[in-house]
Amino acid sequence: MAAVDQPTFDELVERHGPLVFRVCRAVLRDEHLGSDASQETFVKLWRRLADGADPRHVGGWLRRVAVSTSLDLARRRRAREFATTLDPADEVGEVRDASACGPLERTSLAELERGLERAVRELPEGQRTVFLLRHEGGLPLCEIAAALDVALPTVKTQFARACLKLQRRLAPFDPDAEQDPR
Amino acid sequence: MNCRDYRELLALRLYDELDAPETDRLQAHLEACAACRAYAAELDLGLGRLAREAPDDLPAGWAEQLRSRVANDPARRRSRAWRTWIGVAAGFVLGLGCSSWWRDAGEQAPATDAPTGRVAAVGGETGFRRATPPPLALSGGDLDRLQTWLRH
Repeated sequence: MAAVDQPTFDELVERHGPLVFRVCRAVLRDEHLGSDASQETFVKLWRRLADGADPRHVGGWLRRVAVSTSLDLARRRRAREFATTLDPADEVGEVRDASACGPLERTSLAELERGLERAVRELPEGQRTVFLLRHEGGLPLCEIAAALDVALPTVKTQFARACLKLQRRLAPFDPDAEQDPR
Repeated sequence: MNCRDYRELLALRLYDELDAPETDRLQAHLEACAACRAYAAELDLGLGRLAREAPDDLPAGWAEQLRSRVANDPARRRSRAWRTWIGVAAGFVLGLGCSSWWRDAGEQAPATDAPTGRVAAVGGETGFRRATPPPLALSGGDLDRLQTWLRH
C-alpha cells in the first residue's frame, strides 16, 4: 500500500462528499444510515488510493460505490423495499387519487415534500430506487444505469413513469384536458 | 408516440435528462398540443418545484467522523504495522552491515600508531591490529528521520 496524500484525499471529500451523502441517504431513506454509508464509501476510496488509483479519476467510481454500498447496507438491514430489480415491463399502474392538495400554485413547498414522501412509498421498488437516486441523490440517469447495471432506456422509462405517478399524486391532472393519442 | 409518451419526456426534461432529438420532438408536440402544454405547466408547479430544490448540505460533524474512520481503518493499521516491521528489519540489516564494515575497516587499517607502545597484535605476524569497533549508534538526526518515517 502506498501512502495517501492527505490534502488530495481531503479535497476529494470536499468535492464529492455532498453528492455521495445524498446518494446514500436517498437509497437508505435515513440521515444516519446515509451518513454511515457515505463515510464507508470514502474509507473504500482511501484504500483504493492507497492501492495506487489516480485521484483524478475517482468521481464515477465513487458514485457507483456509494450506490452499491448503500444497497448492501439496506440489504443487510433487511430493507427489502430497496431491492434493485427493475422490471422493464412494469406498466404505469393507477395510483390512488391524491388527497387533493388544492391548486398547486397555493401549495407550499413543505406540503409538496410531505405529499411526495408519501407517494414515493407507493412506487414499485425499481421505480422508487431510480427516482430517489435521481431526485434526492442527484445522480444522472446514465450513472444510475451503470451503478445498477441496467440499460439506460429502461432506467429512463422507469424514472419517467415514476415522475408521472408522483405528479398525479401531488395534483391529479384534469382528465377533461386529456387528448387522444396522436 | 402519444401524449402519455410526451409527458414522460416532460418529466425527463424537468431533470435535464433529454437528448437533443427528444427535446426537438417534445418541442414540436407541445406547439401542437394544448393539453400537454397545460400538463407541462402543472408538472412545473408540482414535481418541478421539488426538482429545483437546493440540495442539503452534509450533516454536522460528518467530515470529522470520516477522518476518524479513515485513521482507524483496519486496512490502514495493517499497512502501518507492515511498514513498521519493514523499518525494524531494515534497521537490523543496516546495523549488521555497519558492524561488518567497521570490523573489516579495522582489519585492513595499518597499525601506524602505538600510543602506549603496547600494540595488541592480531593475526600473528601480519603486523595489523584490530581496531576496536565503535558501538552501533545512530545520531539524533537519524533517529528523528526514522521516527518520522515510521509514523507515516
